[in-house]
Amino acid sequence: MNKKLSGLVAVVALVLVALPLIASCAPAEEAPPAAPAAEVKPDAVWLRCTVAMTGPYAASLLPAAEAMQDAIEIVNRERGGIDGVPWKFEMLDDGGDVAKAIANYEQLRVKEPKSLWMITMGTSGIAEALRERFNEDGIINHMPVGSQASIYPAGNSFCLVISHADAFGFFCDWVAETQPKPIKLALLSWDGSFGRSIMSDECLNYARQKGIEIVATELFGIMDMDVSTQLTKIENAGANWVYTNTLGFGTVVVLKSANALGLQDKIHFAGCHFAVDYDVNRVAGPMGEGFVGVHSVVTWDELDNPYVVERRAAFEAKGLPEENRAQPYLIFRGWMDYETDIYEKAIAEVGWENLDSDALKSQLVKTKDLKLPWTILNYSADKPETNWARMVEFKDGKVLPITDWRKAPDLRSTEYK
Amino acid sequence: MAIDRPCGTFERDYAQDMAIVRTPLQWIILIVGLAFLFSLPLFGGVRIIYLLNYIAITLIAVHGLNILTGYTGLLNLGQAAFMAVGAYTSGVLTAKFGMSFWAALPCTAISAGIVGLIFGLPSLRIKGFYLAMATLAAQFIIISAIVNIRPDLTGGWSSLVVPVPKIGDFAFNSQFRMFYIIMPLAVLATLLAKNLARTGIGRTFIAIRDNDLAAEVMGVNIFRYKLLSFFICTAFAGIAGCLMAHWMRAISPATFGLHQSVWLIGMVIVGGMGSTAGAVFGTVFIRLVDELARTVGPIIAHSFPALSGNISAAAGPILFSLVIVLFVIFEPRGLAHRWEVFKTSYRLNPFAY
Repeated sequence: MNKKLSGLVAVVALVLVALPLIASCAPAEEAPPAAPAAEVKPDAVWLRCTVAMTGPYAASLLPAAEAMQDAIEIVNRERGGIDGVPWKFEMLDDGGDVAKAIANYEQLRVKEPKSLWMITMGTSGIAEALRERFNEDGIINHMPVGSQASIYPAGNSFCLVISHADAFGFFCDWVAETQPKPIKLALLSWDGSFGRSIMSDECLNYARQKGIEIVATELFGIMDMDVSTQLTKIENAGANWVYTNTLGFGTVVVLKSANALGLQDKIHFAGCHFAVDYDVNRVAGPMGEGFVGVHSVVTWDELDNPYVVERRAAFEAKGLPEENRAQPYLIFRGWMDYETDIYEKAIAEVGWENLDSDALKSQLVKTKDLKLPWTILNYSADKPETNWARMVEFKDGKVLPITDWRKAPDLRSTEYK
Repeated sequence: MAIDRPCGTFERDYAQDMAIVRTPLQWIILIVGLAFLFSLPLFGGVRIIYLLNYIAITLIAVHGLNILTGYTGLLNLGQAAFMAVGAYTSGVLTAKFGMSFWAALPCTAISAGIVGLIFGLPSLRIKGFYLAMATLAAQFIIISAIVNIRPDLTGGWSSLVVPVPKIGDFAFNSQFRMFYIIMPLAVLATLLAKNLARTGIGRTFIAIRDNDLAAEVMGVNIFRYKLLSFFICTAFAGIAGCLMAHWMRAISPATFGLHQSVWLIGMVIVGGMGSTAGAVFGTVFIRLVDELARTVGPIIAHSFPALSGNISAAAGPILFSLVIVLFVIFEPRGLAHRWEVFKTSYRLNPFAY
């Protein structure tokens, strides 16, 4: 070994030896800042979010930024925020990437004043990766929906809409009760945690209990632009119903391929909550006609609902693009009202000085079959996800409810019950 | 080697000529650079440290891929899956069997290396596109095996939660602290990769790449060295996967998909195949392009509402594809070649010859 190389090795060795010393000087565990100071109201309550504003989920989630900003402005203006303290919000993009979402979370959790409540909107993988962190750091995470592994064992993560497994059970109830027999069902989903969440033993057994025959189970990739092969196999298996656990482009791909194969006259198509969203309806157009799904919130086309009318007026007054007419703008207004209620109840009970995530959580889990203008929420300590939904249908370019609200069966994995 | 030395810089023996760091100035730059790098967490923000951690983990995998593809000329389209082998080896050993991260770390290199050897076996008989297909198969087989064989251990399609590395009670539970595990290993991997190219093994790899028949005629055991190259490549991937797992603290098969393998290949191409510096340049460049896409996507969407989410969805892949196409057309030898051209012109300045 020559002298220079020896020197280089010595430098590297020195660096390695020095590492534990330097590492111990690195910012200590980034402990989240303490809750608001005793007896003093904070200047603002921060709602911090990591959202997939780029990447494959962007079309569905990009409008969320505008929607949240708008909702927070309204709640601050009309209610004066929380007990007179205004909401503020900050949103970072994670592109649907787990590593980026974790980086966002670590960036947001150490900000002053501490957020006791965050919102994540992205993939189930992100929610699964962050679940333990939310529990450790004493922060409530509210997400639209997540896989079972992202919610359970129940902790600080809550879902706004019905879970994928329960939604599938809801669909099974509806299809078994209202549709002509026999029902030969095929499952066609994204190959991943989200897509496969309707393929658990609990889900498949529940369908069989309802007299539904599962004739095919097909998967496709999140970037796939055609599922003709899968649909051909489903047709050959004799299916008369297809249930897809996808959203956005994924659902459009299913509908487009079915249309290309001329299957929509032979097979009925159904999907989960976010499969029957407006981005799918808009892009699929006539191809989506008759598509049904399980839905936990109101739709833009329920013109007899004053909440929807108010949201439509606000949307039009702002001159927002058609693309923003998705769920976020519709539901965040109500969601922020609900969060504000929870905060105010918690503060009334423990005061600002003792306000922490446990105080908020204790209020959240008291939410029992709470009818709101935009949804019905139902949480408990062991089931932090609502179970109320309706069936909706794409009809004449609209998303219209075709059933009344009802509860879904509990199809959690037995290990979480 | 010595044709582009600046005036007044002479090598007096072969060892001096082959040294990685040759001049006092280079030593100063190296030491100051390392000191700056390792002191960054003391004043850098979490975003910067996150990016450096991400780059460093990727760099280890790219170094491995560069040894196999750049030096030995064997295409590997399944590098992300070999990372998954390392990640799940460490994840299962630490989360399910309570093994320490430090004990699991070398196991990940060995397990990924052994799996790499298995998928490297066809390389004796096939090469080029056919070998690419064989490694592509590895991408799907490995992920499928992780999901289906023992989902009770791996979590199947759901995430496997992985504990943070610890030394005694000291937990590496932040971006800043993980930096001091990740970055030294990335520096070490860079040193190993650089050094490998100067050894007999490295020269043998290059001989196989340039003409495997001629190398065999010269007495090189082609099979042995191809497998060795596969082992080294996938061992690097295993280490990278292990770091990824403990850095993210949760892993799922989706983290190690085909698109990740393609991104890794893209980094080798953009950086310049067969160059250690190229692996560094390619990794840093592509990760920054990715960050850029994340920054400009929402801005474009906001500026042009008619495009809305569509441009945000497409910005990353479009930029990545564009960069690859432009590099293949205009600079097929990658950023490393540009760097060499720059160094040569700097050293010859003010003379043009």
